[in-house]
Amino acid sequence: MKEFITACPRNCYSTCSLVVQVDNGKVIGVKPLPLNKATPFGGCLKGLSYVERANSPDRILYPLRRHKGKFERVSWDIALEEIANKLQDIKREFGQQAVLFYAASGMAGLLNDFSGKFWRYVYGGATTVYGNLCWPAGLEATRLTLGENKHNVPWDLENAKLVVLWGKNPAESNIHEMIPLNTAIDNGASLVVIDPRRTPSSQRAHLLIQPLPSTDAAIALAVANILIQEGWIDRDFIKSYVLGFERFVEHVKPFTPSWASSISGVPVSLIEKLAWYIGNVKPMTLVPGYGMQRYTNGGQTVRALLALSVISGNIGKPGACWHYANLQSYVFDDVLEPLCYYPPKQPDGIIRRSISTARLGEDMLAAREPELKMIWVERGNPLTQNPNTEKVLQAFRKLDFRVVVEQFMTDTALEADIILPAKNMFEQSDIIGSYWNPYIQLKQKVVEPASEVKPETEIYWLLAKKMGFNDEWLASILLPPGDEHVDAYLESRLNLFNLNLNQLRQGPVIAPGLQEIAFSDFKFSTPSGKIELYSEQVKELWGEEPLPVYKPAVELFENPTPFPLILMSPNTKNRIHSQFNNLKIISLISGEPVLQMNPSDATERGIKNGNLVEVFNYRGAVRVKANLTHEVRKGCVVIPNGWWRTQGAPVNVLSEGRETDMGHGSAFHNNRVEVKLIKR
Amino acid sequence: MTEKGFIFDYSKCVACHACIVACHNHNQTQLPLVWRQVFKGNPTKIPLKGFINLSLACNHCIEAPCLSNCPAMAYCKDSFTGAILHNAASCIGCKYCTWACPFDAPKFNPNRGVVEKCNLCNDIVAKGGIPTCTNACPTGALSFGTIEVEPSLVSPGFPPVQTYPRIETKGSEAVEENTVMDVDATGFNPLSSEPETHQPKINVQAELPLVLFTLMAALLSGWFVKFYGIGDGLPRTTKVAFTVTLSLAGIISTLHLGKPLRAYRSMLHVKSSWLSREIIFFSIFSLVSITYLFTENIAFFWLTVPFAIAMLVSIEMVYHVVQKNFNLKIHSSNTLLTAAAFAALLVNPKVFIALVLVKALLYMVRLAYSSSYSGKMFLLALVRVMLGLLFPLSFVLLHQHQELPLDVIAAFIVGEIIDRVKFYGDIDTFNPKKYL
Repeated sequence: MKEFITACPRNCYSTCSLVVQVDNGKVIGVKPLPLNKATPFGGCLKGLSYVERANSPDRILYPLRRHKGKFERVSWDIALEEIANKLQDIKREFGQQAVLFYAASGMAGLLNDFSGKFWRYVYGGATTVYGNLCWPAGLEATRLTLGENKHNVPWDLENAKLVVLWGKNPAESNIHEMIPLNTAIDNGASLVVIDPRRTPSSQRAHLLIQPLPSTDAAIALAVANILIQEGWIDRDFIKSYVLGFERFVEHVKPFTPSWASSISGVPVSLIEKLAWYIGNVKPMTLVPGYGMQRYTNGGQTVRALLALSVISGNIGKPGACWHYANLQSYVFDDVLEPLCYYPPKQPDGIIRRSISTARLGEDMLAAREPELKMIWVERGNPLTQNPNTEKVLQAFRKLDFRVVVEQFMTDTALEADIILPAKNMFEQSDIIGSYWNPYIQLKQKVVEPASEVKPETEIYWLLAKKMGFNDEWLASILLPPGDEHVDAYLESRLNLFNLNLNQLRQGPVIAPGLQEIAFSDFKFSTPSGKIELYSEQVKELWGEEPLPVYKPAVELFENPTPFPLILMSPNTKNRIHSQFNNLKIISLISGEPVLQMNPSDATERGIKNGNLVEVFNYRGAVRVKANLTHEVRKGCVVIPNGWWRTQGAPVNVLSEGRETDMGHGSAFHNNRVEVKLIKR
Repeated sequence: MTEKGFIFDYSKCVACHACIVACHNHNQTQLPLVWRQVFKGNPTKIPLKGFINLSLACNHCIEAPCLSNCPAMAYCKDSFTGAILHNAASCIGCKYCTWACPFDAPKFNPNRGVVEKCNLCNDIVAKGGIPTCTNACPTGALSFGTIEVEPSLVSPGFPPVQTYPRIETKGSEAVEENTVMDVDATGFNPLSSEPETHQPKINVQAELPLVLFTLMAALLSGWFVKFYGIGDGLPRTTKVAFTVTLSLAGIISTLHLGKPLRAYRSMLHVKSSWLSREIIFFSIFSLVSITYLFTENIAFFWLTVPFAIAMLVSIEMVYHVVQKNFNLKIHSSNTLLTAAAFAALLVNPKVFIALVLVKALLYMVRLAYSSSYSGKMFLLALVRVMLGLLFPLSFVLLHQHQELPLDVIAAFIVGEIIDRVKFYGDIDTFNPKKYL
């Protein structure tokens, strides 16, 4: 048996370092690597489930082609031949932009760049999407306010005396954050949790605030008002580093606790208590989540929350930080998030970026000149994860040809004409950063690709060859097959920072230029060089108010409505989006899909625990069993996202494709539903 | 005493289930079977009440009830690591260890017909390592090290059974840390809120062979008394009926075994398992009572009596490991009492009158302990008392010197079946979830 150091490339805060045990070319164990100070005790249940995932009998191991409604095994030769012919036909008849290249966050790594290079330089163009499903509203809000997205190293959290988890549930989405959080509490820190759900992260909370979803900005503005009135602010900090404070003082005057209470459903006393904590317990680390900004008012909500860290002077010090996203390890990217999500101001005529990720189905259907004829999907499962599944499905089915590169039979793979087997994380080396911890890590190749599986870089190479390009020219654009080329490429990227692969094989490496305490130099790369509570750019770029405001989220508070319940679709610890639940060990732990519902809402509808119910709105319906729990706030119901249609609860059939107010994010939490009893 | 064992910190466990996956990886358990489980306290998150979790597998108790109660000697203790190990090849699949363990650690695998459980990752621990689950806990809630072993733990999730479990807990004050919150937002109504219910592990349907076997053993013992001083000799049909019923009881007793062909192993652990003793005394009782019937030598009658009593005492003692929802030393379905009552019905009406009254009283008291009542339960109780006790009683009172008709005997037996079935509903295994 051999052991290798590697890192988990999923779209997850933790980005754990792992030790993988390999025996006879088979992954047999996953162990912790204490060298990573952020994940010293090892991976979560998903990281451990790689043992099953790597060896799963359900893995797609060779190219499949749809034939009379069924998938049949074909050779790489036939599959690539067919794709190459299609690509050339489409190019001739409609132009390259009739092909939609859709890649999502299924696997991180530098080698993913080669996919884009294929479409731009080899095929000569394509249509791609702009925006992102996850976090752009908050990223943009933070960028516009602080200048960039970075925060203190994860282990600095233990220095905080007040931790505010605002819409984040690290116990499920970032379990390693619970380590410094628990240390902080053990050392006497207070924990405040703000979440419509009483999540596992609130186990040790001193104060729990359960607002109606999307009303967080109202609470934050009222708290700011109290802080200013009580003088619980850091005047020196504000004077030195903050732009627009005077305007902000005037601006928040009307936002009283009772105003915020009427909007959020949170009692005035709790809003005052929150203000007391923020005003009097220092240092404070404010940890906003990503779910709370996936509303049409998400960007302004995050700006309002951030204002509390700013006026209380909780930026740039040990234990004091705005803990949204830490992009300090993304040293290899030319353009950082969220800027890389934006469509170009001037189209270059090669890559068309006209389709919003948030409105994938709708925009795909609306594409003209040329209309879309084909889609290529890799690292993604849009039929599960993008809003408004019915629209996305309609758009998929309208196409002539669909290629999906996948490891498993996802909802999206099931719609494909050709499925190409995708590599897993153990079958090709790559370099990954993290948006939480400060490390650059090597995701090491530890086994040969299973059966006929080929890494994407090789798929593109072979496809280009089928299209008639010669090796020499291709080598100047793509990565030729073979581990030596992968290693050489990664080495060349690392060398720019005086790093090398051997170093990374020994363990994670701190990102060059890391600021352990973010903004400890109090340099803010905003236009004014200060923290911009008042931001002209907010107005210029997004047409929103320069000062943070509360705007009711679209759909949620329209009255009257046939759909009185607010649907939440948070992440669960059992999946990363739509990955993992197909594994036996994970599905055993997650059980069957359920709708979490407050007992008082259930009683009104004659629903008892375990009854089969239908959750519906005018977009779609899902049938699941009801699980009654006081964990969920009255008026809200919960189905975690990521269940496949074939697993029974594809929650995005209920969601609408809308963009957030900033950053081209997806406001797919603005959804209301009704629930009715189907069977006792 | 100081030992190596598990250390569990309630304040750090968020029920992430990594321990379970790590265990499954290392031990390759046949899913859906896993050896470790995470119990959740306050699962519906009733407001102003804390919630904590408890991750448990086997605690490798110093006085392991699985080991001492296993009739087939399928358990042993590793003298070096102290791990309590289960040997599948010796297991008869009687599931008695799953009753005896207060931590729900042994798991019956229906596909294999035997029990299996956590082995402390003995291969790793023997080499100085720590169990995989403890190595994999991402928050540090579960670890392994030197601990002070107590007879039983006064911690959330630990039943008050003295087994000297090798586990130490801390951080349970997390459940006391009172979160300030808005109760109104949680929709909690103390009046309409339903109490938590637990699916019992001992369920009558699955344990029907045990219901029948224990009851048959009691009735056969009672019936045997009637054969005292046979005189003219018993009719052959009676002898055959007794023998057949006895054999049937023996066969039925093997029906709930996962490995019926290994039934003989159930007699191996007479030293400490009441289950072994039950089977041994039943076998001897069978042998000697039939010998008496066919030899009609009174010496064999007297030889049978102590073994019948030993058998019935053993049957009762088998249930010393379970949790009863009533607080009675002797209950109405006690097999000794049933045997005596049946014998009295057949041979001594006066004693029968007394025993019926005792049974009826004990039955009522046990009923009173029930946590919930239903119409069906009330009806059954009525049948049990009227048909099973009062009807035979009135017969005995009114027709003291008549031959007992079969329908009276049948009525008595029906009553006893109802009582015995209810008894299995009134007992359950100790389980951490009831104490969290």
